[in-house]
Formats: sequence, C-alpha cells, structure tokens
Amino acid sequence: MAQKILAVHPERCTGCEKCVLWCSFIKSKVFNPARSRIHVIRSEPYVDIPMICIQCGLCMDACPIKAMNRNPKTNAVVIDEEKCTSCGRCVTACPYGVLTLDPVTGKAIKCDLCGGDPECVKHCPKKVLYYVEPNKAAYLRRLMEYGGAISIGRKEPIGPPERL
Amino acid sequence: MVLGGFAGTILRINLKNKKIIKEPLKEDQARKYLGGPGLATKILFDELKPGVDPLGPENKLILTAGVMAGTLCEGGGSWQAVTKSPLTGLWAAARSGGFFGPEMKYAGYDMIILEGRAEKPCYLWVCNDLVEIRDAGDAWGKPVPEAEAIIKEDLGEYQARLAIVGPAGEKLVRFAAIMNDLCRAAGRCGVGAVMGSKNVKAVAVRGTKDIKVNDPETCRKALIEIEKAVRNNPLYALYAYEGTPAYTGSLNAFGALPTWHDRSGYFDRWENVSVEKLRRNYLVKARACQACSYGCERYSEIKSGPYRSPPMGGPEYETIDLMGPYLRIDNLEAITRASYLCNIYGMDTISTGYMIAFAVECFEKGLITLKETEGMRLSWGDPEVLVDLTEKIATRQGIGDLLAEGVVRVAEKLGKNAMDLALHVKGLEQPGHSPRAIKEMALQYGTCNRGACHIRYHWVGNPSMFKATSGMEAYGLPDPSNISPLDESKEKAKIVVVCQNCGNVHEALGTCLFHTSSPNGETGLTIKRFAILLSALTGWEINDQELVKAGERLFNLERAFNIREGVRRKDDIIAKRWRTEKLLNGPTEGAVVENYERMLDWYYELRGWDSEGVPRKSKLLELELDEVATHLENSGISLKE
Ligand code: SF4
Repeated sequence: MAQKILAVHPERCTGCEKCVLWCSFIKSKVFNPARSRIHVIRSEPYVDIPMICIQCGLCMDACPIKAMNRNPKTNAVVIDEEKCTSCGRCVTACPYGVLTLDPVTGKAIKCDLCGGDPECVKHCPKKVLYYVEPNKAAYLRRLMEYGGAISIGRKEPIGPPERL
Repeated sequence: MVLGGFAGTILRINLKNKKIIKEPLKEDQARKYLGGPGLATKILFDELKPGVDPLGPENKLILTAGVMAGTLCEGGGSWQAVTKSPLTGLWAAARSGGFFGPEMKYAGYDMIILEGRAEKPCYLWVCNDLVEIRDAGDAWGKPVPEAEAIIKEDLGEYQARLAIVGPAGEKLVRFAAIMNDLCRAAGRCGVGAVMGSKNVKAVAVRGTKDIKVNDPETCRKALIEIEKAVRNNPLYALYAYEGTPAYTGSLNAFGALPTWHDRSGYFDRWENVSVEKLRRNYLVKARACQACSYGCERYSEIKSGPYRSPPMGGPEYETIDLMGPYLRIDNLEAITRASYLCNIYGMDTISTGYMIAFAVECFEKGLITLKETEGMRLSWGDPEVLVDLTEKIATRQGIGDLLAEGVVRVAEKLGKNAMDLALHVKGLEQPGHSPRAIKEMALQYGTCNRGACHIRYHWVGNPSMFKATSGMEAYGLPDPSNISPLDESKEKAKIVVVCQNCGNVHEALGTCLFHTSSPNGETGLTIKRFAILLSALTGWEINDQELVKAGERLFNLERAFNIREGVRRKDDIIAKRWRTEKLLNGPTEGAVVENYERMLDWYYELRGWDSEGVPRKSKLLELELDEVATHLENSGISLKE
C-alpha cells in the first residue's frame, strides 16, 4: 500500500483557521497561529487557501548541520530540535513558506504529519484537508471537478468521512 | 498556575496627550465579570460620569475580546465595541466576528481602551509590545476597502487585522459601524460614530504571542466535545449551507417577517428575496470567522446591471428584511447593492434600512415633503429610493443628513405625530423580528439594555416559536412546547429573563451566538460545555450555575449604567404601533401586543426590580454589586429594599 499523503481542496475552504489553531495547540499546547505548521492565506475578494507542507525535502538539503531526517514510516521530514541552531536556511529553501522559526523558541518548525495521524485533517469542518493514498487523492480531485467544490448550496461535499 | 485563555493586559490609549498605559488584567475582576466585554461594562460604569456626550472626548471606546476569543472554542472569532451610544445615549455593546478579536489577543491585549480625542485623524498600530499612534494620511475619508489597503501599505504589514470606520463613521452618522475583515461589522448603536468622533480611522493589530492553556488535556477533550456538539446540531446545515438569509422564508411562514414598516408580518413576494434566489444567482462563496465550523458568511456579487456590486459579504437576513420586505422591495440586486454600500461606508444595515422606511412613511403622511427630498418621490417598493438614500445617509447629503441622526432625533425634528410612527426602543431602531408575532420579542425589545435588539439575548431563535431550549431548562426556562408565540402569559417574562442572563454569558465569554442555539442541551454550545472549557483554559473551578449568575450580574450592571442615565419604566415601553395597531395579512393577521405593561410588571418582579424598573438593593447585593448599589445611592437614586 502506498504511503498516504496530505492533500487539499482549497475551493471548499472557508478560512476558519481551525487547522491552524489545532496545529499550534497540539504541538505547542497554546493557541498561536504564528506557531502553527499549517497556514491559511486569506485575501480579498474571497480567497482562502490552506498552505501545507508537501514533504518535498528541500529543507533537508539546505540544513547545514543535517538536523532533519525523513521518517521512514510516514515519509515526513522531521526536525531534530536539539540540533537546530535557528540559522533559518531551511526557511529560505522552503518554496511554500510553510517552514518557519517558532517566535517563542526560535527553533525551526514544520509539519511532521503528526506521526501519521494529522490533527488538522481531523478537525477541518469542510473536508478541505485529507490524508489518503495518492491515487485516492487523485480520484477525489477528479470528483471535485463536478460540483464537489461548491461550499455553498445544500450539497454535502464529497470526501473522506469525518473522523472526530 | 497559569491563567490561560486571557491575554493578560489591558491597553489604555489617551489620544489627547498620547499617553499609552499597559495595565495587568486583574484575575478576580476577570472572573467576576467573565472577562473582556463584561469587564468593559464595569470600566465604563466606573469611569464615565453620567450625562457625558457620547460623541465628545469624555466618552470612552473599548474594543475587547472575551476569554474564548482566539482559542478553538466554536465562534471564538468574536470581539465587541463597548461604549456609550450616540444613538441611545445609553450603555452599548456591538459584537462582530472575523479575526480582529483573536489577533488583538495574540498581540497580548484583552482590551484596548480609547480615551479623549486625537487632534488630527490618526490610526493606531498595535503589534505585540509596540503601540503607535500614526497619522491617518490619505486613508481618512476613504471607503473601508481602500482605506484598509492604504493602511496596510503604510505599515508594510499585510497580516495586520483592522477595525476600521468608513466615511459614515467619520461623518458621525449616528448608526455608523466599526468594520473588520472588510465586511464583518460591529454594527448596532453607532459605535463607529464614537470612533470617528475620536478622530481614529482604524486600530490595526498583529500579534505572535501565545494564549496559554491551564490544563491542555481537559481542554482538548472539551474542545472535541464542543466540536462534535456543534456539528451534530440540526442547525448546522442551516448556517453552513444557507446562512442567515434562510430566516427570510421561515420567519415569513410564521408571519413574523416585519414588512411594510412593520404593518404586516407577511410578505407576499417573499420568494423574490428568498435564500434560494440568492444562492442560485448571486452567491460566490461561503466564509467563516475564526474557529467556526459553520461558516455562515455569504459572499455575493452582482455582475452587471444598475446594481452592479463587487464580491462582498452579505446580504445577511437582517439586511434582506430591513432593505427588502420592510420597504416592500423585492429586488435582491438592489438589496445586495445597498448592503455593499453599507459595508464600504461602514454603516449598520438595520438602522439604515429602518430610516429609509421611516422616511417613506413620513413622506406618505406629508411630514417630509418634496422640498426636503430635493424633488425625489419616496415610495414603497422602489429600489432606486433604497440605493440612493443609503448613499445619501452615508455621506450626509441632502435629506441623508437628517436621516443620519437616527429615528428619535428625526421624529422630534419633524414634530406633529411623527413620534407615533417611530418604531424603536430607547432610540435604537427596530430589527427584523416582529414583536407582535413573537411576544417574547416584544418584551426583549423593551428591556434589552441597548434598546430594540433581537440578539443580545440567548439566540435559541425565540423559544416559543422554534420550540428550542438549548439546555436552558436547568436555569429556569419554561418548557416551550406548550407555549404559543402569541401568548402573553407570565411564562414569557420568565423566558426573557432566563434568555437574557444566559445570553450575556456567551456575549461576555466572547463567542458567536449562533453556536449556542440548539433544540435541547444535547447539541450546541451549552452553558455546561462553556463551563468545562473555561475551567480547563483558566484553571478556575467554575460551573454553569456560576456562569449564569455572572450573566445576571452583567445584565444588572448594564441596567445600573442606564438607570444612572435616567432610564425608568417609561423607557421600557415599546412603540405605539406595536401596542395599538393590528398586524395586516398573513398567518399572524390581527396580532397586537395587548398586555405589554402586565408582562413588564411580571418581568420586573422576576428580575427583582421595583415597579419603576430600578434594581432593588437586595438584588444588587445578592449579585455582589455592592459598590454599584452604593454608587447609585450616592448619586441620589433611592433603591428599594
Ligand atoms: S456562525 Fe457565522 S458569524 Fe458566527 S462565527 Fe461562524 S461564520 Fe462567524
């Protein structure tokens, strides 16, 4: 079975930032969007897009002291906080702007897929985020093309069942 | 022990001498008044002398977010503007959603108190520990979206969140709103005019600080429980897929949709302004405030035609009613356009719609003539009148200058029997819920501390109409299943008292009212669930009974503020039309509020107030408002035992 991936249907996003707050709460035990590993772009007239880490690993190559490793089980790139020197090179390397330095600890923070059970996915009210096998993700993407994108209208969005 | 939930600091900015003071939030005060919005009322009570001019420099404007704001509590995107209203001259609080409130807390502040008046137009920049008063420059005079862009450009900070006034606020339109996140509004009671009178264009905030949690594990469990309860709520589908415009159809079916300057509760052409029509033709997107599972905000766009309007939030139910059926208008495009104008000028859509209806009726009765309207005929059902007058009011041109003063001042000026036509309580214009079709609404309008208001009581959507309780039986709410909406029994007084007390809990904690309503206690954000979450956040051991008690305390504190300003029984009496004229057409034809005074007597009795509506001393002491009681007595108000 192929390794699951984190994917998004931004069309459905209402911009509520639940994913952002759950991320900061689970990882840092506080509420602070600046300490989240997922971010939501909200701009006008009506753009809401969750920006996620796709685990591409460019940060891994940029880190001068090799403080990052790929977790073989989840395929996620994970930072060793002990080693991190807060130099910020990984931040420069990240093409999506989702790797940041924690404003409180100063260490680099990034999505580690919560060890294979991403918290953001569990709490998204509109089924924007999902954690599935790549081919399932592709299938869901195709489904979006006929109407799943409509976040208004009575239709319940198609997608993986809610897991709370 | 960490005191979680709160940001911990109160920011006080004196605009005149540019003094900036940061005070620590006192824990005992925060608990007694449930944090931000409640405490703001206390501060206002302590610091404002009775009789100050709401638009003068002595008035204070407090922007505040409750303890739940910025946390994951459903509806935690809320914040409030608390001040003395230029419309009613009394205590006022206006709630808004979006992201401004949470951001203020991430910057480290539970409330921002604005005092005095700036010499020149300015805006405030609050970024973590940095607080600056900056020149408003070109932003002054500009509509909200443009001004917001100018300010963000000036700061070079695009992640800032702004509470901002439009031209209506600058021009002191008495029902101007404070806008945030472009189309979220702290709308009622003219809080925007207060900000404008202080020469403040905007408050921009940005923060990267933590909101701490006392007991993360219990908090996590409580949040999951709340999330489940809200998503299993039967109302979820309504708010998520239709938004508030869904109420147009349902209230009309009950005969409770104020129509034709509230002469009727039924609009025959309601289908033209229904949610179906809106959704099919104009909606472009649903959006949410922070941490909200519903996402009730609707973005709509009119692509072409005379009422072309760019994508913008709205129109909400209240807007649709007051700018549609209330004026006998069934043109959704014009309504959307007018809603758009209110957003960019920063104005309350309810009061704006109301004032236009009032003008039309006065024109019909000859109280306003072609001379005042500069040749414009004001008639029912004319979308031109709606759009034109909205623009005129916002910019105070022509007759708009008069209408911008609010219904009481206009009626006084017009003289004759104009006052009999004015549908308001304490100076706040009627919103879109018929007090004759739902009798608890009549009593709510009369006794709400900010005037004729439909939301500052627990939003179970009128218990007797929707037969919903939200689990408030535990606090004395009578079983609504056998009570008719038209009934005027003592039960109605009970309903209003319990709903107002419980409603003040979520207002003070800083969440949205829509999550708290549900058919019963099983789903929805009930007071019990609030108590568990609040305890986990703060480390207090607080239960639901204590919360409801605090809600009652706040209600009495607000009342005490108004009592000091001279409010008595006479001010709690609702408009003449509601008490004497029968509703026309529809399912509620013939309904009228017959026994208002008797309901009011029952209400006072249940509240522990005397026959003039002044809280008894014993009541104030029971609620630990000893200071307030002493203060009132010292200012010459005799309190009955
Ligand atoms: S229900 Fe609507 S107003 Fe309330 S928090 Fe959600 S989006 Fe905002």
